[in-house]
Parts: sequence; C-alpha cells; structure tokens
Amino acid sequence: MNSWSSYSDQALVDAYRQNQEEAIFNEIYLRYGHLVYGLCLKQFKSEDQAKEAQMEIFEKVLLTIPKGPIQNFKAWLYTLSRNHCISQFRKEKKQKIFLYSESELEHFSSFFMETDRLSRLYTKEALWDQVNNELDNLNDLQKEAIRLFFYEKKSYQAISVQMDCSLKKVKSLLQNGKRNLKSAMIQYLKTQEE
Amino acid sequence: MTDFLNERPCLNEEELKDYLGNSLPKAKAWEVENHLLDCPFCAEAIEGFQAMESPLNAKEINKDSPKEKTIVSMWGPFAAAACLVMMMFFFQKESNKVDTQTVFAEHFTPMEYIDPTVRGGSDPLTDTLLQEALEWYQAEKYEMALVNFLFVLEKNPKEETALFFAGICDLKAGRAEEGLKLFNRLLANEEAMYFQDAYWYKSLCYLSLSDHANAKITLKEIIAYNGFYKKKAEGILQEL
Repeated sequence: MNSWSSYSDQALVDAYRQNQEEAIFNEIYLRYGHLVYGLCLKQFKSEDQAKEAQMEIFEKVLLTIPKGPIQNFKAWLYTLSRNHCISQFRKEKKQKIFLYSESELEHFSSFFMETDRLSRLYTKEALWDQVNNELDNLNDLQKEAIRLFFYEKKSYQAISVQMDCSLKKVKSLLQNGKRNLKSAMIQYLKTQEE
Repeated sequence: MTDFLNERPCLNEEELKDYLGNSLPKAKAWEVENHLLDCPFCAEAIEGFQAMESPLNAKEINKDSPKEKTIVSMWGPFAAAACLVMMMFFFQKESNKVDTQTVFAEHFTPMEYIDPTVRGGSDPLTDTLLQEALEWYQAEKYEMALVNFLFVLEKNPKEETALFFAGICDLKAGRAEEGLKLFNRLLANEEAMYFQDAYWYKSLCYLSLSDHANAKITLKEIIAYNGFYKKKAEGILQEL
C-alpha cells in the first residue's frame, strides 16, 4: 500500500497534473491498467496488439493529464481507450468496430451518469420501493431475470440455466431491465418535481 | 434487498482475476456482476479476457507470483518511465503548436444539428442508422454517432450528411487528420449540401494540426469563395 492508494481518482489526477510524480502515475496504472488491457483484448483479439494499444493509451494519459482538469477520469479513460481502438481499426481498414451489438451501444450511451444521479436522489429504501413499483412495467423475460438477480441474488450463470438461455442473453436482459427501471424512476422523479 | 444501485468501485486486478477464475465468494461475485451491469469499462475488460481462451491469461494478470509477473503487471513502472521520457520529447515538440491550437479552441464548436429527421435515403437500414447517429450527435454523444456515421459511409461512401458530421465527430475527439479526410471527400463535390461548412471545418482541422501554412491557404480560399464563412475566415487570418 502506498500513500496514493487512498486517494480518489479525482484527487489522484489533480495531484498528477500538479507535480507529475511517477508514483502517482503508477497508482493510476494500477487502478486501470488491467481494465484498459482487457478492453483492448476484446477489441483486438490479440495479446500483442492489446499490449501495444495499452501502452499507447497510457502514453496519451500521461501527456493529457497535465494539460487541464479532467472531470470524470474513469469515463474519460474509457472513452479515450475506445477512441484509440476505433482509430487503430480505421488505420488498418478493419471493420470490427461495426460488430458492436445494439445492446452494447445502448449500454455505452448511458452508463456512468444514471447511477450517480439516482443515488443522490433516493435513499436505498425509497429506491427499492420504487424498483418494486416499476417492475411490472418490464417485459416478462426482463422481469424474471431482474427478479432472479436482485431478489434471489442468483449469478448470471445460474439465471442462464434456470431461464434456459445463453449468458449473453441473460446479461442483455439484466442490462436492459435495469436501465429501463432506472429510466422509469428518473421519469417518475421528473413528474414529482413538476 | 436494497442494493439495486451499483456503488462499488471498479474491479481491481485481483478481483478481476478471481472473478475470471471463479474463486470469489458468492456474495462478492454477485456484487461484481451487479457492478458489471452498469460499468462497460469493467464489463468489456472481462469480456476481453474471457475471449482469449489461452490458459496464460490467468498468469498474465496474476500479481501473486513474482516469477510469473505478467507483462501487464511488470510493464507499469517501465512504461511510466518510458512515457515520462516520451512526454518530455512531445512537450518540446508541441511547444511550437500553441498558437494555432489556441485559435482552433477559440473557434471550434460542433455545428448544431437542429432537426434529426432523415428523409428518404437509399435504404431503410441506412436511414435508421443515420437517424440514430444524428440523434446521438444532437445529444452530444459524438463517439456513438461516429460509429453509425461510419457504418452509413460503408454502405454509401458519398452520403453527405454522414461525411460531414463524422468529420466533426473526429475533430471533436481530437482526430483532426481523420476529420480532414472526410471533409476532403465531401469537398470533392462542389454541389454538396455542406460544402461551405466543410471548408470551414477543414480550416479548423489544419489549425488543430498546427499546420499553419495549409490553414492560411484554406482560409484564403474561404474568403475568395465569398460565402457565409468569409468574415470568420478573415478574423482568423488576422490572428495568425
């Protein structure tokens, strides 16, 4: 454990912007290096290419942080990593970029902000009450997947067996179901505010 | 039963390894899976490791065994040092770029797209994708929009709206070279709907790339064209 490990991402990035200490950069790498590598593995399906891309992405991180404040480092790094992969594909004239599924794209469009917003607006208990109220508005498959995951705390694998569908389908049902519930709750909040 | 929201941080390397190795306690694994529903960064990383079926993967992210420290784990300090050296090199190299990039930052705003309605294109799929792309563009989700614009251009390489707004998406993301290529493709047709706009953004691409000479040439061409970007171009030319 080093002294930087207790810092939030924001504090860490701000500190690195001010004094470019190698130890701070190492802490950033420790937190996100494996995620960037995994994301690159997914895109390139090649360990060598993923390692090279990971290195290039962290070079960009190193160069960019000192240039100005970064509001949400995790979202920024995720976008930077995806952008890097997109530009690599375009350089190589590959079309893998178009293979993202619709659900992945939908997921990408709304990921980080919703949770923060809801957790600021609801207590846990009130949130859960609202989840229960909205559950009936989901389609049957989403409802069942959500019920098994959140009420019975089953794993993706167990739900896949119980519902007799693929793991991919389970993830999609849960992601879409959870997002629909969140959207409904945000909508509900808006009507309450009016 | 009140943990609907995911409030945990991203997976650290150890948790990632344990999740992949199926060795997390049940409650912890559930917590991770709840996090994965909201965090595409972790979800995609997991999918990346899962997609690589090589048994080496377990070793590659294992920090416990020093002799088997992975390239990923070992690479960090080395890369940090190497990157610091590179950073100094780049900073020196970039010190001459400040002027044009400042001008770029002052003048670049993604062109507003007011009515994201696609009216009768070449085929229903292209129309749908373009429509979706423009909605994302309007919502300032430029990377999402770009993916669709590029797909549209695969099907129809001359689609003007896709060419133009994909160029802006690239420019917005700091990929001026890619943007420039798209604007040039659009400018091959003087009758193109976004012809004058593309010229304007082409000059901004050069500014972003610190290509002083080409920026000036393009701005002079815009002035000579005598269209609705003339005054803006004159203003920038005076600044340069």
